[in-house]
Amino acid sequence: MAVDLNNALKISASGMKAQGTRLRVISENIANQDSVGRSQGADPYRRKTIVFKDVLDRKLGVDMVQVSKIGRDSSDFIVAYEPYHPLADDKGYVRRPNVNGLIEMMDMKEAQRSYEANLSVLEASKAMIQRTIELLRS
Amino acid sequence: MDLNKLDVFRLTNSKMGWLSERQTVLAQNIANADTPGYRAKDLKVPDFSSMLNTGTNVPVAKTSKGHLMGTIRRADFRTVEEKSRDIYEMNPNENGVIMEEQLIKVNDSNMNYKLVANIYKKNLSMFKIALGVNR
Repeated sequence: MAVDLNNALKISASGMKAQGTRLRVISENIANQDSVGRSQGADPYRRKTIVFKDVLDRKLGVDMVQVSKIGRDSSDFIVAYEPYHPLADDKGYVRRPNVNGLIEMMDMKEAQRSYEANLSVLEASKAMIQRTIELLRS
Repeated sequence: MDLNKLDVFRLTNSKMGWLSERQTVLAQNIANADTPGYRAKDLKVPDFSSMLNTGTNVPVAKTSKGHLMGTIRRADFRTVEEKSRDIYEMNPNENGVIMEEQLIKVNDSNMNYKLVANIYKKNLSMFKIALGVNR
């Protein structure tokens, strides 16, 4: 019985860990929103993406969640007309990272909410364990 | 004295076991709420006919130490995946976990657990009255 609840705790923890990694990737994207290339013609920062997968934990016999891969967004870079920029090409255009602040913000909110959901399951499991322990006290 | 010989304790025991198993399944769903292609699972609610059939599910006998445990799980702890036609909302990445639904289920099993634990406690205190421990 308690083993099941402990498994529930471990699964919630794995979910929180995955969402934490997601938040890290999002913060990398936001931090590098304006990171242009090192030299003229070099690529600017490319947005990172994260994918989760469910993995069967053979020891526990349950589906845990894990980060499947951290990839790169292959969409086009944003091109801005800034002739005064040191990295501008002959026509005066600068390539900027393909990071959209709004999308990152929404992703961040989603990660936050998922984290909270995992946390509330953890609380619920904890309350159940607490109840069981209280039986001994009465 | 074996408390499990008494009906109330046996009942509460198995109900608590079922609820904590369900909690594991629900935690799985919520942890995988952003996993592409994942479908929500739930424990099958045990009904009378499935209980009746548990007797026919005979595990293989172990006659030597080297034999592995059978893989037959308890029939009342069977997980079922939600069918695609039952899902009313699907993410673009084919994830079928609806967070609200899962959280309601978590709360539901939490409340049931409280209820069962209280029943257990009350029965135990009745014994204590009979034994004269709590005066």
